[in-house]
Order: sequence, then C-alpha cells, then structure tokens
Amino acid sequence: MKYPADQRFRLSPEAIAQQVNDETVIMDLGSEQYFGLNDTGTRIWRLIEREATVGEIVDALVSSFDVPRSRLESDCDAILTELDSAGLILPREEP
Amino acid sequence: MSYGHPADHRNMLLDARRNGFYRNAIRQAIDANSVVMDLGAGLGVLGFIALDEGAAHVVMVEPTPVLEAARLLARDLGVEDRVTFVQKQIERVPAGRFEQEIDVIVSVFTGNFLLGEDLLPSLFDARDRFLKPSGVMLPDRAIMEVAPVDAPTLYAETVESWTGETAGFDVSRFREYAANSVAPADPARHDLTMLAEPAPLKELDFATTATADCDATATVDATRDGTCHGLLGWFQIRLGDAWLSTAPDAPRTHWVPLFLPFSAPVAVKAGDRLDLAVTRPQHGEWTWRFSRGPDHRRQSTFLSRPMSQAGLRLRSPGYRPLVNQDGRALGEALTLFDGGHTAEEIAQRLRATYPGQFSSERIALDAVKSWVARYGDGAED
Repeated sequence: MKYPADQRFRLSPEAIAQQVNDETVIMDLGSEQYFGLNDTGTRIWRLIEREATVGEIVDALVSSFDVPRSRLESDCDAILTELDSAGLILPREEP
Repeated sequence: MSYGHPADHRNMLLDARRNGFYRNAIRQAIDANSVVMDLGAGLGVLGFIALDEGAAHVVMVEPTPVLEAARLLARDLGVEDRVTFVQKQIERVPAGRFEQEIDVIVSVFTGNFLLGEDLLPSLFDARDRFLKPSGVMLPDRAIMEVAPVDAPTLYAETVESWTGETAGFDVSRFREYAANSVAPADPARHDLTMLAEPAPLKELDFATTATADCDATATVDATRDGTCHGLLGWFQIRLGDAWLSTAPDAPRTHWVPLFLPFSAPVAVKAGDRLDLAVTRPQHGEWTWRFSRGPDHRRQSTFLSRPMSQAGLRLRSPGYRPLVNQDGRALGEALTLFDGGHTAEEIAQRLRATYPGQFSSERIALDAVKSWVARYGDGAED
C-alpha cells in the first residue's frame, strides 16, 4: 500500500461534508470544488473522522465487505490518494 | 426572488430613503446630454428620476414583462420618446445595440448582505460592454459589514422552531438544515443586539472589480455580555458622494440585514476576542465561521439542504449529459416552432408522442406555452 498502516489522517478544515444515505458530498472551501464519495468512500471518510489508522480502515472494510483484503487495500489506497491529492485530508502528525 | 409582477417591486418603489439617495446621486452625475442606463429597471423608477433630473435619454433594461408597466408610465409622463425599452437580460444584449454610449449606469443589483441574488455580475457585464470609459456607476462602491448578534426571537423563529414535535412527530432532524440557512432579519420585529462593534469585511469597487465574492475575516472584541446566536451581515453603498447604509440601526430601507445562525449559541463576555469569517464565492454557498477561545462554529448553506451525488454530477462542467424524455419533448417542440403550427397543435403532437410526460392536454399545452414564452421569437425585444 502507498500509505503505511499506522498512518492517520485528519479531515481538512476547508472540507465541509454532508452524508445522505450511503453517499457523501464534500465542498472544499479553498478550491470551491465539490466531490462525491460512494459507500466505500463514505465509510473511509467516517473512519478518518474517528482518527482510525490506514490499517484500521482496511480492517473495517474487510469486516464489512466479502472481498479479498488485497482488493480492499487497493480500493482504500485509491480513495485515500484522491482525497489526499484534493487536499480534503491531511496527514495527522503524531506527537 | 421573482420580480415578474409589479407588486414584487412595491417595497423598492416605496423606499423613499433609497429613492432620495439615488435622486441626489443622479443629479450630481448627469447633464442635459447624458444617456443613462437603468439596469434591472423594473418599473423604471430610477430611469424616470434621471429624466426628471434632466438626462437626455434613458435605456431601461429589464428581463421580465414588468417592463411593459414602465412603458405605460412613460406614456403617462409624456417621456416615451426619451426612453429605449429593452426586455432582455443584459448579458444577452448585443454590443452596439444602442446608438449612443452610456454615460451613467444606475442599478439596484445589491441583494441583502450585498451578494444575495448574485446580480452584481450582470452589472459588471453592463459596465464592461456599454459604459463609456469616463462613465459613472451608481452605486460605484460597496462595503460588507458583519457583527456577532444576540437575537433570541430571530433564532427561535428560524432555528429553534425546528426542535421537537410537529404534527405528531419529531422534526428535530431538520434543525441542522435550518441552522445552516441564512435568513432575513427584521430590526423592527426581531430584538437584535450587536455584541461587538460592526467590522468591515469586504469592500468592492464596482468600477474595476471582476467578481462579486467574499472571503474575509475579522477579529472583534465583545463590547457586552450576551448570547451569540450567529452573525448579522449588511452593506453600505456609495451613491455619488453619499453612503447609504443598510445597517440594523440605520434608518430603514427595503434592504434587511442577513442572519447567519449557529447550530448552537455561544455565551459571550465583554472583552472576549471573537474571530469571524465569511466566505461566499460568486454564485456559491455562504459559509460562516466563529471562534471564541475553544468554542468554534462553522456553518454553510451547503448544509442547508440534502445534496446527492447524482445532482452534483449533473452540475459538473466535466459531465457528459444525456438528454431525458423531457428534453426530447422540448427538442421536438422546438423543431415545430416554424410559424406553421399552433401551440395547441404542438401540444397535441407531444402528448401523442410522449404520453408518459404529459398526462393531459392541459399539461402538454402548459409546457408548450412556457417554452414559447422562453424560446419563441418575439418573446423579447
């Protein structure tokens, strides 16, 4: 995976999100752009909000989906990369 | 806000204070040769003031049929030959439409808290394409101002009323939508107490600015103890050499301050340092933030209604659209706008072709009539 298992992120203070059913729509105050997350992306977003590590996020996805772990790691990587690139999540610095 | 009926213009027409400021500014700006554009003319009041003050000619630009009421008044006043009526959005008026260059643009494109209704971009378009280089804009500058506000009755009305049971069930889940919605405040009816001196947030120079937006912060010191229910925003505009303020404690005009509430009020003590921020991109969402020590609030009209990914996708510039059945019906109707078919004939044909879209002849005819009003030749000047 691109991100180490013990990596934590925090939500950007510029990101405002609303969840409707299993979807999340995010408005980035900085770029004035909008983003949409599907069910998997929404779960990841919520876990980041609860300060889960990347490893804990993957574990949670494994317990929710009947899909091989390697596939979920790949999906998680892709979503985290998109969120990171868009500036919607920021690395959480560990003390 | 709809302005298609004369009654919609009542508050503006009867705003004597506003009219007086505009009249004074117009008198300063014009001479006997002046050509004035009354942009967003409505009933034409400001244009008629310009003629009364001696302007040579007035161009009234107004997208709604209410302009016809202005034409009737022009006839009553005997000035119809000194007015050009253009029923169009200014962006759709071709360059070179008018014989003369415009010396003065008069407009009332300032919504509550200045940016409401997103009319200012149209003013900038008119400025760029029709105003002569030495021309005058009335107003030509604006300042947005903000203050933290103790507003118990307004808060109860706009936010707290969504708490608890209504019609036998708990509607509290809708409260967050309300707490992220902006609302007009009425100083005559709501008890509004500013908890700090108003802070200037953003100044716009209408003569030069390209966008009507706000992304500004202010730090104020609370001047009294109280409960901060949200922020109150308003503006002042410069008309000639005078500033017209829409502040809650200023003499009343038809404008009202805008209330930007918090999801939960914050107790404030005199001397507290308060950080305020307001963001509003052009055509975008209002977002407002507040900090008092460890207490933070962030609200946004983005959260004032549920939004789906599907709806978001449709609004994306990168989206590749597919036409739906309503669109197909519209497309077919437009091919019949050739002067050879009545609206009724078109409606009958659409009903036969798209029975799922038009459950009755009346619904089909209503749809065709609305399209004729929008897309039919002769619907505008």
